[in-house]
Amino acid sequence: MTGKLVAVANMKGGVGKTTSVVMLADALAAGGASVLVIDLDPQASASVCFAGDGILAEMITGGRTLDYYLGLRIVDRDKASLPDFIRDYVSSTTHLGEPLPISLIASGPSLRIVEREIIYALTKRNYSMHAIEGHLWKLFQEDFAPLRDQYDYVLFDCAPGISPMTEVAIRASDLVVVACIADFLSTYGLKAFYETIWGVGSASESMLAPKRPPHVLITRWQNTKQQATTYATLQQSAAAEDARFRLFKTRVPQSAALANALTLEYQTFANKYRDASRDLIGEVITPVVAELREALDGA
Amino acid sequence: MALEIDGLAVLCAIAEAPEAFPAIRSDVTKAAHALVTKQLKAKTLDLAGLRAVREALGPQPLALIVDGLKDAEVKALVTRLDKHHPDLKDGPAVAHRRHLMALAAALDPVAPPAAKPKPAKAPKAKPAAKAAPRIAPEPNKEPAKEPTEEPTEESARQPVAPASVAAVPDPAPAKARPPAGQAAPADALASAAMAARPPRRPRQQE
Repeated sequence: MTGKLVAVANMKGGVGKTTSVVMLADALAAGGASVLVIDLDPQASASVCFAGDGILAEMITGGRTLDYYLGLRIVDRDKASLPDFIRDYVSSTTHLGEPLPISLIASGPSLRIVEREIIYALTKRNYSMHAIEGHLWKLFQEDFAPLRDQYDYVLFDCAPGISPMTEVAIRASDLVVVACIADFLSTYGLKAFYETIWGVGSASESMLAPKRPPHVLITRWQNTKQQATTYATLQQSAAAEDARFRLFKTRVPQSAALANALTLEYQTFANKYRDASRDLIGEVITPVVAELREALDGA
Repeated sequence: MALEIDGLAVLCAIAEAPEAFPAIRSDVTKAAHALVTKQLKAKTLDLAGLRAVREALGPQPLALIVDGLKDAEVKALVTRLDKHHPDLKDGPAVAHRRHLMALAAALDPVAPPAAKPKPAKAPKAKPAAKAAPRIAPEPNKEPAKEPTEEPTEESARQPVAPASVAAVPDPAPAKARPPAGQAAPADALASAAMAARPPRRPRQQE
C-alpha cells in the first residue's frame, strides 16, 4: 500500500481546517479507505472531534500524544516508535453498521511547549535554524512518511501560524489543501501563506518545496455579493496559464449540519452530514472527495 | 382520459432516461431517500414489509437509508418488529441498526415468552366498605421473578441475544458524549483533556 499524505492548512485560523479534515477523513473512511489523522495543532480540535474529551484526556495522561513523542524523540533523544502512538478505530461514527476505519495521532496543549523545547534543545546543541529544519525533515521522512505503507490516506490537521512541524508536513505532503473562506481577510492570508511556502526562495537546502501547488478549498461559503466577487477573482486566478494555485470546483457551504458534524452527537455518517434542509453527502462531500482523488492521482 | 399521472410509471421513465432530467439529479436522490424513509416509518410496516423493501432495493441501499434514520426512529422500528427481544431496549444505536438489517435479511424475531399459567383466581371479595387498612399482601403481588420455564421448541430456535445486539461494542461507549437534547454542562470550560497533563518524560530537563 502506498498511501497519500495530505496536509490541510492555512496560516489563518478559523477558516475550517479541522472541519475539512473531519469531513474528508469520515468520507474517505466511509468509502472504504483506511485513514490516519495526525493532529499538528496544540488546540487539539481534530483530536477531540474524533476521540472525545474523555479518551483524549486518557491519551494525554498516558503519554500517548504527538507532543510526548516529539519530546522523547527530539528533545530527549530517546527511542520511541510512532506507531505506538496511534489510536485505531477512534471515531464513534459508523457506516453501514461498522465503525469508520479512522486512526488518530492526537495532540494536546503541550505541543506548543514541546515545539519550543525542541528549538531550545537543538539550539543548545549548536544547530542552526537550517539544521533544525533539516533535523525535523529527516525525522518526518524516517518516522511519519513510512505510515503511508499502513494507511490509504494520512491527513495532517495543521496548526494555524505554521509551526516548524506543520511546515515540514506541508512541504512533505503529496497534496496541500488550503481551506479558505472567500472573503477579503482569508484570501489576503492566502497570499501570505503562498509566499511563505511556495514563494521564491522559500525552499532551502534543508527543506524542499512542496510537490504540487496548493489546492484551495472554499469553506464556509455563503452566497453573498462579497463572497461571490472574491470567488470569481479566485476562479480567474486559478484558471490563468501561470496559475499559482488550483481551486476545488466544489465549495463547502456554511452549514449547521457541518457544525454539528464536529460534535459527537451523531452516530452514523449519513446522519452527521444530513439534516432537514441539506444533504451534504450528495451535494458537497462526494464531489470534494472525487476532486481530491483526482488531484492526488495527478500528484 | 387520464386525470393524473401514473407516478410509478413516471419514476420508472426518469430512471430509464436520466439524461433527459439533468437538472433534477440531486433531487432524485433526495426524493428516493424521502420515499423509502417514509415507507420505513409507516406504522403499518411489518416484518414482511421490511423484507419486501430489502428485496426490492437490495441490502446496501437499504442500509444507507437506515443509517440516515434518527437513532430514536431506528429503535422504535426495531423494538416494534422484535418486541420480545430482551436486549434491544438498552442496546447501542449501532446494534439497533444491525439488528434491523438482520431482521430484514432473514433473522426471526424473538418469540413471545410462553404464557405463565395464571394462578386460580380466588373469588373476588366484595369490597369492604372503607374497612381498616390492609395489612396482608395480596396473593398475586409477589415480587416478579424471571421466567424459569424450559424453552419451548419454538423459542429454542430463536436467538436469545443475537450477536447483532449482544456482541456489538458501542464504538464510543466511554466518550463524553452528552445524549441528544441534554442541557449543556454548567461550566463551559470543563474539559478533562484540557485539564490533563502528560507524564514527565524519563529524561525531561527541568
